[in-house]
Amino acid sequence: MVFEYLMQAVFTVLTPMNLLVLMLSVGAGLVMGMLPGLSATMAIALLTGLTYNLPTQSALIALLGVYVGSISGGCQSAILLNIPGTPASAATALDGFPMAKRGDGGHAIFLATTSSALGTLLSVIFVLTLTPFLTSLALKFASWEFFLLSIFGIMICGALTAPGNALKGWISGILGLLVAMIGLDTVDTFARFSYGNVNLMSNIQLIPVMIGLFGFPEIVKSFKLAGSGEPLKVSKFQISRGFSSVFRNWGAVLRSSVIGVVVGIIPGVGEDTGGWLSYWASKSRSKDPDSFGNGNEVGIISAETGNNSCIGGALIPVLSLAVPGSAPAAVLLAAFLMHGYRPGPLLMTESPSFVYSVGIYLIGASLMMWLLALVISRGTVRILGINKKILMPVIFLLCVVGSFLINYTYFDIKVMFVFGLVGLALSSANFPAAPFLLGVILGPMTDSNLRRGLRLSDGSILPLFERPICIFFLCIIAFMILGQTGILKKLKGIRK
Amino acid sequence: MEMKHKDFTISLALVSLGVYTTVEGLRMYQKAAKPPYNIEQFAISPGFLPTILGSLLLILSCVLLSKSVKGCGFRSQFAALIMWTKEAISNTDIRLMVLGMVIMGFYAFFLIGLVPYWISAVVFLITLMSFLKATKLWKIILISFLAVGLVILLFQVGFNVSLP
Repeated sequence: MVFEYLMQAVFTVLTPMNLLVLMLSVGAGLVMGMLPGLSATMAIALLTGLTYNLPTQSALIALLGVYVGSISGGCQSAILLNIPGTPASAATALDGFPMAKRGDGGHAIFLATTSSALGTLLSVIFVLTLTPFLTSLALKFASWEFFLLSIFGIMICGALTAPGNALKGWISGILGLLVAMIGLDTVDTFARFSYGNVNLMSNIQLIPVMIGLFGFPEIVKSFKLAGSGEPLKVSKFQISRGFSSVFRNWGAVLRSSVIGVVVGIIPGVGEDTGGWLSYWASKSRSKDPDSFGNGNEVGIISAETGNNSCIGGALIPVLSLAVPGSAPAAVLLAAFLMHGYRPGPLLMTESPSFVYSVGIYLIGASLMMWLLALVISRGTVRILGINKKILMPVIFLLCVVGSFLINYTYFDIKVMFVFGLVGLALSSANFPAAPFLLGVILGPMTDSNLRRGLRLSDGSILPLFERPICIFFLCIIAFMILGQTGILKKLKGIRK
Repeated sequence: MEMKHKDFTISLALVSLGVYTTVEGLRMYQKAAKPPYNIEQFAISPGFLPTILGSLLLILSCVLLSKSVKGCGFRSQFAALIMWTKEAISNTDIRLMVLGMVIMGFYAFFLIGLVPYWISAVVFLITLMSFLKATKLWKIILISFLAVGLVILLFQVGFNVSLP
């Protein structure tokens, strides 16, 4: 029966009409993902309305196509401009941009695109085979575990992005968490740091903050006299070289896929965290961790495989529990409902072929994405050759539009500008922006879960030390603090 | 400016922010203890996490501050900061960046919403690119109209969304 469902889905996706839908949706997703400020969530949300009149299967193909395309497209602007198109590709910029700067932009894009496709393909295996098992594991996460997971994520990111000075990374993460505190809190609707301003009460939006932190400093730095008129040398990619790099690092691909899927399954933690965790795992296992951040191929491969395998991971709880694993998956859930599907425990009874169709459509989307992204990249690689003083003002125009489109308010444009100034100040003092962004992303989850946990335990923090998963996280956090502050080294020295 | 001087300046700002956040968090706790919230326990108050984060920021910023003044002291750091400010005023790169930001700020805060989108965007692009001496004026005008046209085509026509 399963084979029948799979074959049926393959034949559906191979019809000329659906192939065209797949190509257009993946292409639209890639463009949206590439443009700074237009997130995967927004891409799916915009396309949902357009798919309303399409046949159900074509609509499903379009929605999954735009999801895969937008998550993958973000890597191109991250590599070429150091401005991640989506938060998911922030980790890719760390090694992608240095590679592009030394004239290897084409190769970096090939690696990122191929890893993205592999990440999605491998995550489909998990969607189809491990759904029941992984769902039961994710269900064991309660408030305290979610709280520690978010703290752990921010601390990892801080330690990773500020090599040799984790203090700056952690400060940046705390600043991000503080920004997330602005507005009405999710537990008691108490207005924090709002000063009676209605816009502030409705929380600071993630996208303007992201554009400001990452895009603004790059734009302003390009105004300098020094460095102008020096277009960076870029190379065209060589398929054989790219494939050999990917296959040489198959361990990183597999590891990042597993990490991405697991992160994707956990509700509320999305593609961005998947990318960062995979990057961290590869860096910590590397014999040459110092090369990370300076254009290491494994960094790009891990980050892109990790964030794209989150797509499959995030769909697992959507399909089995109707609980989205990430923000784009939440919009996708709404789109599924709009097209007459009821994801959740009854899905396998009501629409048994649905899960298999989703798997096959994801495979189709990832293959189409690989092809299209490489074709498009031939044009985007040339971006580096354009005079930055022409390109960057136009990019600022896109940043303004991207910020505005979140809520259609001028306030978000101002937020983008203000956080741009913050980003500029932080980058000039070597404070990484990524932990700041992760703090803003995970802040609501940190706050609501901590307070929910404290409320359930009547203000006691004892459950933190009684729950096995919490103890596991606490041990890793303690180990990280000891390692980053040099205490671990001193302890080893004393033992010797 | 040396990294130590930058760390010193930033850590001073962060210490102030840490103090402010901690005090504000405690004020939130006091406010939440009164009606209509009546949350008297600090651990479940909305001010709990901001207070903790503020305190952590204060501690970490103090560590950064102490690292930055190690071996040179507060006075020499202040002197270096004043010296850098004087140098920065006459630095061409910094002047270009600041004036560029002023143009961007004027566009983001005032020009958008004042006139139709395409006019504000074209005026902004022509002004900024001319200021940066990006290329010849006729090319700047052509590029500006083309870029704004493409943005309108992509978003307003393609994605059917309204622009600022």
